Amino acid sequence: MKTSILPFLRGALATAAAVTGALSLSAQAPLAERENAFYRLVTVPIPEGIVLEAGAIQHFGKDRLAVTTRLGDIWFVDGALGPDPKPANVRFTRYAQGLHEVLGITTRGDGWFYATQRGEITRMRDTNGDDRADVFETYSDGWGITGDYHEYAFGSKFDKEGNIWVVLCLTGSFTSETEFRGWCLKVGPDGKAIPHVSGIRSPGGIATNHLGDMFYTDNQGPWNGTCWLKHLKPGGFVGNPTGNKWYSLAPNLGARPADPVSNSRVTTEWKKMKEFVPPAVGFPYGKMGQSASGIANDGSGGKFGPFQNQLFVGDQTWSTVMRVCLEQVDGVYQGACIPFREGLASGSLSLEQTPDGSLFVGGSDRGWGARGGKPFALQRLVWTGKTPFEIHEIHARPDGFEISFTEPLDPASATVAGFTAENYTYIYRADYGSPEVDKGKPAIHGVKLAPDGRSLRLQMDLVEGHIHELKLPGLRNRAGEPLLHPSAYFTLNVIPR
Amino acid sequence: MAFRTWFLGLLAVLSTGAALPVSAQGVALAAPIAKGTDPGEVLMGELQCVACHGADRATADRLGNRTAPLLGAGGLRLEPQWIRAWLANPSASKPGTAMPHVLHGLPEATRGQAIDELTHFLVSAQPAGEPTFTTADRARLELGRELYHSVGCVACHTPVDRPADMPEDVFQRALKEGMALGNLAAKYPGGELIAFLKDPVKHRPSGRMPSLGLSDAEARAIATYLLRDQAPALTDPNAPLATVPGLKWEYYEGFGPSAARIEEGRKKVSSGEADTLEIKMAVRESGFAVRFSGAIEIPTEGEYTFWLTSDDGSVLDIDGKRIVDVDGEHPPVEKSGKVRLTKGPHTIDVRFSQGGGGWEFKARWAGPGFDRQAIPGSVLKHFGQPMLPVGHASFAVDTAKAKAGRARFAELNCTACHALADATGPLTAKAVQPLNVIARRPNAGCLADNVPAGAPKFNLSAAQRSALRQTLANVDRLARPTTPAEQVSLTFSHLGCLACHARDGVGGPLATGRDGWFRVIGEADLGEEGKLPPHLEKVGGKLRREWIQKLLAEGPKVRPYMATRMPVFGTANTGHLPAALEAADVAPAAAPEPAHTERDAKFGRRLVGRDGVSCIACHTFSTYGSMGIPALALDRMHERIRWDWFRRYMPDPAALRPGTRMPSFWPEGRAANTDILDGNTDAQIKAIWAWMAAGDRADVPAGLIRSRQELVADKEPVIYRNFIEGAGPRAIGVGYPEKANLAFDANNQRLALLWQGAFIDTSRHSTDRGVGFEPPLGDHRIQLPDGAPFAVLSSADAPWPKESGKAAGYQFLGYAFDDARRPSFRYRFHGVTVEDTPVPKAVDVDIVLRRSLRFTGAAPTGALWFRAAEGDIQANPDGSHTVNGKIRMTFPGSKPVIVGRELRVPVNVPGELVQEILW
Repeated sequence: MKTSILPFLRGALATAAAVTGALSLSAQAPLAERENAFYRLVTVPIPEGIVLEAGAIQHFGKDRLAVTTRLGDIWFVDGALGPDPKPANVRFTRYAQGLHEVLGITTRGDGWFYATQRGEITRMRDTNGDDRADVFETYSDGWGITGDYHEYAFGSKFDKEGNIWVVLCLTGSFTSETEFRGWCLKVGPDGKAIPHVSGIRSPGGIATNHLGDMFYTDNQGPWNGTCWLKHLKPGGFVGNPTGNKWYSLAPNLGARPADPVSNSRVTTEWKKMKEFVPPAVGFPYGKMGQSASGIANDGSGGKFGPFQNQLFVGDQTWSTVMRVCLEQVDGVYQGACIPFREGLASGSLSLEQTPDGSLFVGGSDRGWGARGGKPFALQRLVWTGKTPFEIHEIHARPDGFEISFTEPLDPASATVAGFTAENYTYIYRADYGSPEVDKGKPAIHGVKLAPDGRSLRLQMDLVEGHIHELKLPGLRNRAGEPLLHPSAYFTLNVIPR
Repeated sequence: MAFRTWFLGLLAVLSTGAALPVSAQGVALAAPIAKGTDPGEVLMGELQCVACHGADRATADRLGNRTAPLLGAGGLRLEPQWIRAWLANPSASKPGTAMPHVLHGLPEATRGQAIDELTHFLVSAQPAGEPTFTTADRARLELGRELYHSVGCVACHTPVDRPADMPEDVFQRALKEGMALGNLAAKYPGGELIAFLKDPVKHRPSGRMPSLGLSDAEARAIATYLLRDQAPALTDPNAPLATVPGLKWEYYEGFGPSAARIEEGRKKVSSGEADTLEIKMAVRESGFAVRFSGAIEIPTEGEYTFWLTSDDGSVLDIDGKRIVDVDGEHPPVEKSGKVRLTKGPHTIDVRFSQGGGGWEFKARWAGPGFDRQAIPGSVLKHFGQPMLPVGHASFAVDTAKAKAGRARFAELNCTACHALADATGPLTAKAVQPLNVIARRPNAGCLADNVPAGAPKFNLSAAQRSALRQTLANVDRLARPTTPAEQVSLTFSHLGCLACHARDGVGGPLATGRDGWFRVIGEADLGEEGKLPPHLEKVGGKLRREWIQKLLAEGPKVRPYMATRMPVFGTANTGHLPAALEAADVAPAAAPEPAHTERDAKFGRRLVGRDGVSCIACHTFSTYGSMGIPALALDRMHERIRWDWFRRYMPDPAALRPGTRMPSFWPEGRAANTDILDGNTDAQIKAIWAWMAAGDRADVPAGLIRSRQELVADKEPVIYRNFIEGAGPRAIGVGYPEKANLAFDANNQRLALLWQGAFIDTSRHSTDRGVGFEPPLGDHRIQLPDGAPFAVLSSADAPWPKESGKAAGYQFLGYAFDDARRPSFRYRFHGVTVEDTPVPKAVDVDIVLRRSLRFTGAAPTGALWFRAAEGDIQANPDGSHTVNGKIRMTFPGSKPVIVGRELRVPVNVPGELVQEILW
């Protein structure tokens, strides 16, 4: 007898639709297809025999890419930026080989490439013009490795002062068996590594926002109830005390702070500890993704659509790219994450925006399964010039949120009934992960639409330290269309006064 | 000490006479009661009310599932002193016990006599033979502590240790709500507790204490821990330890550089105790090591000689000093060492390692008055402590008292609960007023606020009494047949299932607050799913009936990463559950198992593997590990799971298992992989099911079998920076087209390894997460000296400094390629920069590595030396040196010096030193 699981699914979806008041989903094309109309996914063909588990990507020269791999190669890729790269037009040249899990690459355009390997940052160059590096200099090796596979090192691009920031995963992601595991080190132009931020667990990517402040992603595990985007504030502590024994080697940061108390809440512990920098944005586990990874700021000045100066963050398990808008209140970062693009071919790992505005996404699913299913991929998101109807930004206000949109709203849809809201937080604990706790259903008091229809004030109860999950299924643009992504998750550290 | 506290407590209780205080908590239940279940009914079952008060068949069946511990021949040999204390007041001896105080109504004088007679009777009825008292050592105690707090004991029982990050109030709650253990150290001879822990259901057939499938060693360890007060010296680090028979052994697997450094490159796999120095525990032929440790009992003072014969290496230490050293990789070699020893125990530590090829190990000795012989088991001991029950005294059964005790046992109707047969025959129970009669007098008898003499006095709280009265008020209800859902709820409530599992929103470690004691074995990256037993919401609709049956009967382990074990309660107690769960939980509209074809299974294999949605990234299959975390085995899914659950689970795992790390590959019901079966969700999920149907006989999915991936230096050298065995975590391997290979240790700036032939297999690091160190692939493997390569010495024979790497002032600078892309390594120490350029060349049939070391910078104050080799070094007439009989080294233009087992070469700065190595 033939059985089908589709009736069940349709039932479940119909129920979901009834609950949220969304349009009947059966009338809609798959989300990835709808997204593709605005942000087209272009796959760079990779020649047979090349395993391009892209750990980091750097644009250089005249539209060339340097792509590093987890297996230790650095490939120069030419022809990946054209309108639709064909195998015949894309050329791969192996610039370096046999390096150790390269998860960071940057250059000043002077011929030297700075690659972050497990055990060191190496700068390398080609001295004879054959596109192959001949000189490999240890630029900095100010941290230890023990032979544990989880001791990853992610390196940033050069910051404004010419520093490279390295975030160092804990040993096995649980302990700190050698120097500075669980730290961020800042490597100056002299190659000296300075202990800079403590409290790291298991990073997935590192980059600056448009203001030059450095951020990294940290993954669900001990002291991380979910995956987070965290601000690497100099001298700060970002939540996992396992590596704090190395304060003894960081006299520049003063005495080791007292460890936070486990089974508490971030907000509670943060207020007790001056070094503590609370996570900027949470990616709710199982709702936004499961493994936050690479970060890229849209600095294209509009070539990538309307989301200038917002951050784009990969999720490896879900093969997605998420969008983050940030704000600072009392010097503390917070903000929202919003779904952006799904359906990437492999596990999104490295993100890099090229000068033409496209967003490159390198993927790998080795050791950590990913929805995309391909073992590795190099893809590119290109704005089609069509603007999706999306949430543009969300900012906290004393009495709720101010939400702006990429298009004016149909005033009739901007009512309290168009929203649902929930809030929750996570247990802050030495144990792995956390369920959502302290859940609340905040009352929504009112919706005030701005005269231009492009933003509104959502008046509602707020809880500091909670993620505010906002659903906007009832909103419509003037053409009567719903939002492409009608949900957002705002991490509220501080309610502005 | 614990005994004293307990004993004083007992005295305090006894001195209050008949008006014994009743604990406010009353009778303890192991776990929360299922949703919608009457607590009075559960309590009536636990108190075995119908054992005395008869009831109609239906009611008796419903309530009568508990029996008391077996006494007599089927029981255990308990300490007579403990039996006395127990009878004097059970709930003072073990708070929360369901055993009533049956002697409370006797006047004090008579009570003492009754206790004495009953004790003689119970001891006389115990199984024949003497109990065994065990021995203990600290390692076993610590293992027991670890097991007690992780395998599931503290899901029900009171914990002892508070996990470091557990708040005090959570710990206090567990202490308050946990089932007390009572004074085990006074109750059990060690051998009896071990027997009980190994098979609790045999001695207590109603399964309230289930079997955790403990091995002998585990049962011994837990018993040692629970009885730790029997050997006070165990917990006192200053107390001298006695010796007990047998050596401790540890068995390691992996390839390491030496026997002495046994943990390097190896992992401990198992441990135990052995009577002889024979290697019987090795389960493979290559890549293992064994350590024996403990004490050797020296019979008379004098000089002793020890011999080791081994292939590969071994070492023998006595009292921390190396006596025999046959370490290294070699064919069978015999060596000996002498040592003067006093009479009595001395510590002994013997380590053996096996790399590849054949192996052999023999340990022999000779001493005053005896010639060379194998070391006999009689002198091999380990430090430990005999254990004797607290308050133990010799006891002889007085037959007259025993006879009187037997009469009292019958008179008190103990037999109603405790089945007992002795030589005189079975004891039968007396009929008491039936349940429907006492139901009319719910404030009398055992339920009276002041229990009259003649009725057993249960340790009930006011709330429990009130619950029982309520149940009795509607006692006819109990005669009605139970629905399957009620059967499940009642059984779950009686057996304590909800201590570990949640169902209908009730129970589970998060609800009881004991999740802090549920652990993952090792560091599997699995989150809460890895340590907390699964919820059982609608579990009958998830698991097949046959599987539930197997699970309950045998407790097979499908979650190898979870420290807590699924216990076995005995089929007499759980035999009805598979059918009841199926009837209660399977939805009427559940989809039946679909028909599938071989073609479906082939597509399923593609989906599961590397080219599909890659289930194998996380899930294991048969004997193959996954490429990441060790999630549940794919080959066991079909055997366990119902199709109807699987088809609902796959599109949205978190809906059925909130918080799961399993992502959906069909978000919103749409296939993420559109290449296979046209992205048809329905067809894809069915295909995976079809593939899984073959269990471990299914075709292995693509990507699981790791094939060798040799990195080949064809026309030019290739580099491999990774974890290389023997060259450290920051190794730089170089394979040359000449088929000579080396590995440079960038942490210690030393040439660490040389080998010939194939360079390296990269598959360890290029498949799955890349765990561990990869050894060289080729042959003629040579390990060069560890530690710092250069040192400023006060004299040529000064000891070589121990520090190396950054600690010794070295800094690695990188490497640059020459025209043939051969690397020159650069590093610096104390202002001297070294350019280290190895170049292999074939000379006749041999391969020679010519290594040029160029030194620039400021010359250090004092003589600078290079340590070129370590081992057995011989100077040859032609000026070359032979190391370990295998390697020939020459230093054109330099004058090397042999210092002990080292070959040292003077260094000039600036200058060049050339080292030629032929191997």
